[in-house]
Amino acid sequence: MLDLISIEYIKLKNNSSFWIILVFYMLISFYVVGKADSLPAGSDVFANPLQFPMIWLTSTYCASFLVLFPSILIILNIGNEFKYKTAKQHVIDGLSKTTFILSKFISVCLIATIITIYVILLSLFLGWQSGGEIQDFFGEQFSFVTGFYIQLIGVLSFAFLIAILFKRTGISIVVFVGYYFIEVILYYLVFKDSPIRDYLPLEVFNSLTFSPIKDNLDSFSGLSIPEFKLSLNWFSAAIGAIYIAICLSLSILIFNRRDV
Amino acid sequence: MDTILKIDSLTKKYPSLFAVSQLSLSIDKGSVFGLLGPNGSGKTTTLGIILGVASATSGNFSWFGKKNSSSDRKKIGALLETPNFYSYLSAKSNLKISAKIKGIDLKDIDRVAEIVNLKDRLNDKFKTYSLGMKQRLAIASALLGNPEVLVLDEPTNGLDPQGIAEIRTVIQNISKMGVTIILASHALDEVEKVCSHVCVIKKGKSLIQGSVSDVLVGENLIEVACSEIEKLKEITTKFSGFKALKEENHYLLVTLKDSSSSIEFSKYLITNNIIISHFVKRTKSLEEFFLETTKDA
Ligand SMILES: Nc1ncnc2c1ncn2[C@@H]1O[C@H](COP(=O)(O)OP(=O)(O)OP(=O)(O)O)[C@@H](O)[C@H]1O
Ligand SMILES: [Mg+2]
Repeated sequence: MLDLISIEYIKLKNNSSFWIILVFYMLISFYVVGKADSLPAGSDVFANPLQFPMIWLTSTYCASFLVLFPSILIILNIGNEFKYKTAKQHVIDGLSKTTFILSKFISVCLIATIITIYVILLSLFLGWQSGGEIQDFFGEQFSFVTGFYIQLIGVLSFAFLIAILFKRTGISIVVFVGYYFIEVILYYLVFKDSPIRDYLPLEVFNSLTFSPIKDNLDSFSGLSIPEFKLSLNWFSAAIGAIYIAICLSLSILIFNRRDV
Repeated sequence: MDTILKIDSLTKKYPSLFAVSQLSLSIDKGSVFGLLGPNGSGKTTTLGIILGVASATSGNFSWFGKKNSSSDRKKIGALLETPNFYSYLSAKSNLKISAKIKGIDLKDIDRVAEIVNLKDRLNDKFKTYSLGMKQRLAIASALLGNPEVLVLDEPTNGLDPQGIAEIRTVIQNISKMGVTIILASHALDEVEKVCSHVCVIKKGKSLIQGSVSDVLVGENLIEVACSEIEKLKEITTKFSGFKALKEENHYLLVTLKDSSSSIEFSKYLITNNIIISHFVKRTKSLEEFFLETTKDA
């Protein structure tokens, strides 16, 4: 296990496109989160979206908007294994096909962990800058960080599955982005009046982070704002976890059934 | 004798053709087994199946006389078709990854790099390597951890004559240490020089198998030359052990019956007053054999 982690670490550490995309993502999300208080619809109940504890909603929500970047990282990372035929070589060298997929899933977890830690640090920094109360640091709203982590792993698992399925980086990216449009069509047209639409994978993942903006709070579960304590919807989180398990199992199944 | 690998009526069907068809063979510990066949004959496909990257349509194989498991492959060093490495990583990092998968101490990297003459270039990126260096690196990777079995698919591909000679010496030295080697090649002289056993395949079917000496010395061939070629021909065809004759550039290539010996033949020529300028007993070259057997299969 440790060996597998260190193998993935060697592959990522020395890959310049990994660093470029990661740093780019970090800079953009820092910029976007930092600008959140200038939004016209900023909540008047919670005063400033950059103060504790609302910063946890703001940062995770904004960072999750940019999830395309880490998804491309995953697609490139998996695509490399096919491009360089190292997936094949790993199997020849003695990994079972299932272990290979699991070892690649380590990259998903590694990237999601790095980004989540970054978002936590970024939130602490911005929250501290806007002079929030220290005791509110890890309020209930901190659960959205967990939601964000699950969402990240979820979307990345989905990108992972697509990358395993299509092998070629370009095609995988097109399919991945294309699916966003498909899901929008499903959500707004096909399942317009059906509860199914709330269980579409990306919709489930999206519901794990939540905009701190007032309009959203009003509609959230129909509760009135003053008595409402915002925290993660753990039911959605559980469904998200199921989707992750499905993506991973399908990847293992597909990879095992195919000649490498 | 321990059997290292047993293949039993292995078949691989692609939509348009049978890449491997009913192939059976058994490889003993310590042998150098050549899988010989022209391009597209199914060598790589066969090796891919026994190395776990492709699935067989039907048939079985077993390593080390037991049920297959992926961890068996950690005891096998293999180079399949092309060197597969991350181009953006250094050679050393690439070897590290292989070593970690196989659970081998990283110290072994310097040893294998030494064997293939890449020690000075280990820190260079794989993409800066020449074709021959890439091939050497793949061989180095296969040698990591002193595996019990080496599977080499066209290992001298892309190497210059000196490199080819070096790699052959490496293979021979490793074989002396008791390592079993499976070598796929379309180069006959390669198999002839390094293998103890051979299986010739064409279109996925085994044409003949056996020890290289059996397969090679199937017939009794003699090159003979003298100043009077016509007379030589005439006399030769009257020899009791004569079977066939072919005229090559400067000599006759005479095939004798299995029962008769080259000594009898030379005595016969002398008693018939033929002054011989050239007389060589030739073991049948695999090349001739190869062209013959694969022509109409
Ligand atoms: N993935 C594939 N799909 C369809 N046909 C394939 C596939 N891989 C190989 N083949 C076919 O199977 C046959 C055997 O190919 P293989 O690569 O095993 O030959 P080989 O003996 O290794 O040849 P070479 O000496 O050129 O390396 C060829 O006709 C090839 O076209
Ligand atoms: Mg081949």
